[in-house]
Amino acid sequence: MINMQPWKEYSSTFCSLVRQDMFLFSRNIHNVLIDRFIFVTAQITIANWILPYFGLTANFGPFMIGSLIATSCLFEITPFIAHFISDLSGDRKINYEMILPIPTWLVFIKIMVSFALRALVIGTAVIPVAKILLREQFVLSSVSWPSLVLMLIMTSILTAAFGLLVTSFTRGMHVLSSIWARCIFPLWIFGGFQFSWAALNNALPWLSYVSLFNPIFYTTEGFRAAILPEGNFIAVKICVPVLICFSLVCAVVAIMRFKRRLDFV
Amino acid sequence: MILVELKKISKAYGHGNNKNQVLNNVSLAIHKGEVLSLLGINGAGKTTLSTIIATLHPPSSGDILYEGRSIYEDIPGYRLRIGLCPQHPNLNSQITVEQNLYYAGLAYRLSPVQSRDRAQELIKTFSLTKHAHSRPLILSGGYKQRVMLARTLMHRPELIILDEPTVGLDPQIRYDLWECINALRNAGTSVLLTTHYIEEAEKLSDRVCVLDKGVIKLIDTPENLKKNFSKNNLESVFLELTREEGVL
Repeated sequence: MINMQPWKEYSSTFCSLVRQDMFLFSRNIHNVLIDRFIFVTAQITIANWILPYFGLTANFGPFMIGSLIATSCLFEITPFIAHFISDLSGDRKINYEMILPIPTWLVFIKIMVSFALRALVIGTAVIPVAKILLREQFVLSSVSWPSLVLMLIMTSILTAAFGLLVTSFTRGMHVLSSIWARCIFPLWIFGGFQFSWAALNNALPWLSYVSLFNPIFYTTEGFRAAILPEGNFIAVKICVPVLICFSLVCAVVAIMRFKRRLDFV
Repeated sequence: MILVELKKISKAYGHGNNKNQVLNNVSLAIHKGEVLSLLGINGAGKTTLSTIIATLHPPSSGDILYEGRSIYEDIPGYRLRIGLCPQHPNLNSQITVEQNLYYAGLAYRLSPVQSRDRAQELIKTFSLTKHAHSRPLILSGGYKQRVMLARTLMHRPELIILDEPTVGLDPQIRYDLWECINALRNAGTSVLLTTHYIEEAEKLSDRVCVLDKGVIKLIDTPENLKKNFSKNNLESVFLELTREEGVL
């Protein structure tokens, strides 16, 4: 029989660390939400009221909601990397957490959980903003809420795991702009921000198959499938297992890389 | 009574021609309730050794026993019984001194009430009342060090590892920290103090361990060292020892 006692004790330390991170996040949440509000408002305004004059369909605004939720989570990666890297080259608060009474790998899980919760809050905040802007165009009754909640959770977890993985490859603040330009931006822009996988498959079939290895595509498609169930998108029941697999691989590789790079026990 | 025993601890960074052997077969024991000072010049391996004992970094080889059991069998359990106060303050600068202590208590599994009470107790002990609601960012080096020490003591560890705690501090603040270390010893807490201030080691230590290029040169009480080397103070012993070995 598995002895659960140590895990109960670890959970006490683990929860206190997450609680502290959330306390810090709550003090700065208004700034983060203002940033995202500007981004979402600008994108919906352009997609829903300007681009239709250039031949786009009138329902491009609702189509963009899924992209904006996924993007709002994904864009948290850059500040996350900056924060993590500045700590490693500065005070090294992480060293304090690494000697707390929990296994070292659990500290990395804690970092991911805190980041995922942060992404979850930010991603969720997009929904009311989109509703206010799009009004009756965003039909709440047609939304598959269980699928949407599932996608929010999975996207947040993927963002956290992927963020930690990218951070493990980031050698210093000086490469942060390159990380954005060479890694995050291409994955995001080719991750279905402005188009569905079906549309890409019609336009450039080879790129659509390559894109199946891009985890961001499953986030944007999954959200669209949940918000616009009548559309031709990759189903949530496919997106969720794929996102679980990507998250697990990212998390395991990131933890192994960090333990080796920082020489933690 | 032996609290912690290091058995042939070695640590190397890099491989092949780039291999840097920082510690080489270090064996020593830390007794219950004693202050053991690790003395050595910069680069001797003091900080590496203390971070290995604190389980921040793993040794390349060797073992550490805590009350006769390898610490690597239950690292979290061992971590509950020790505290590391690193040389450079790594407090959370976004929250207050009091909150830093409070969250440290929670992380070491104190209840919220216990953590709040313990934080208040240590704030008083370290004369931090005036700064309890300040963020560490605005504190002077001496006050930051006090907060660091208070945070290390939140969970009442049996072994405290102090890595160069008085570097760059004013004499008065150094003296206050010495008082604190003495009080800890009197309370039965073991202290591993890494320092390159020989006067500090002489004043505070029950035993002194001289580390040089990752190897232990000798371990003894300050009195025995002075007697054996026929010197009036530990500094002369240290200078003779390191000169003999061609360190300087």
